[in-house]
Amino acid sequence: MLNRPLKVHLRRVGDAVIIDLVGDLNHQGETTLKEAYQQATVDNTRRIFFNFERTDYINTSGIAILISIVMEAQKAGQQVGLFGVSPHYQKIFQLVRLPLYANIYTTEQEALASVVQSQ
Amino acid sequence: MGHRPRIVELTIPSEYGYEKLAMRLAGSVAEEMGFTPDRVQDLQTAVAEACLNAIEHGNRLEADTQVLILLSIEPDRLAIDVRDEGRGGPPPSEVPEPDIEQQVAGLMPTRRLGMYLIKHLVDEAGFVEPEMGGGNLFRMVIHLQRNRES
Repeated sequence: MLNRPLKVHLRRVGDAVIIDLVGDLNHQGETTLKEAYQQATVDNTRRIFFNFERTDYINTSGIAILISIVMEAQKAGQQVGLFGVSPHYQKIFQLVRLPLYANIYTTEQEALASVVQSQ
Repeated sequence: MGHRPRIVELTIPSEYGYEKLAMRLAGSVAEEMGFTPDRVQDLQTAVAEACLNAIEHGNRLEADTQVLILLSIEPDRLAIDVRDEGRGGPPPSEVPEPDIEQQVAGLMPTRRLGMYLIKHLVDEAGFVEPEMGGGNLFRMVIHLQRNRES
């Protein structure tokens, strides 16, 4: 009743894949998000960005899912980035030191510009 | 003469999602008391995580259990008690600080972040002995004074 189940949409932009998230990022989103990540990397994509513009509830189960995706990306030599994260959740991500492994960008443009710069 | 706290109570079932009711209530009360928007959001996340701990660990998601949330409103502070029925036994005496480097290396579980976050988001947090009855009682406090200083 109170949960907004997570929905995802994948977009390819140049050499990167953007995963747009809509709804809550909690334990119920685990399968959805992990499948989206697998789908994003199916053709050897090295850069994956998660768009949080339409996600206004993230709990620690959701953060744990993100950390497990970062773990996989790290092993596979992929770059993971996040954008559209509210200042409050940026603070939460900083507290768990997620930016050590996933850069946080303000906007999609800024995230995609990082791909161009790093090429 | 001291002020008598105003008490607001909410009881929720041990089901995922109901923690949002508690966070909305705590947020509304904190906002009315004059806490800044960023502190209101910090409190809301802390309350949600405390309720999730009570639902998952304290009550083990058992359908016949409930979580009681009690807000004590005073002129300069807001205390929030989250009480479960203790089906999961006593709370852990020590919560290891999460280390993402260890987690990414697969050497530490990626869960158990809740308590760590709560302690960074409110002024006081910890388990206290319930005055009566069983279960676990987790208390969080935020002070308006810090609001003014920040």
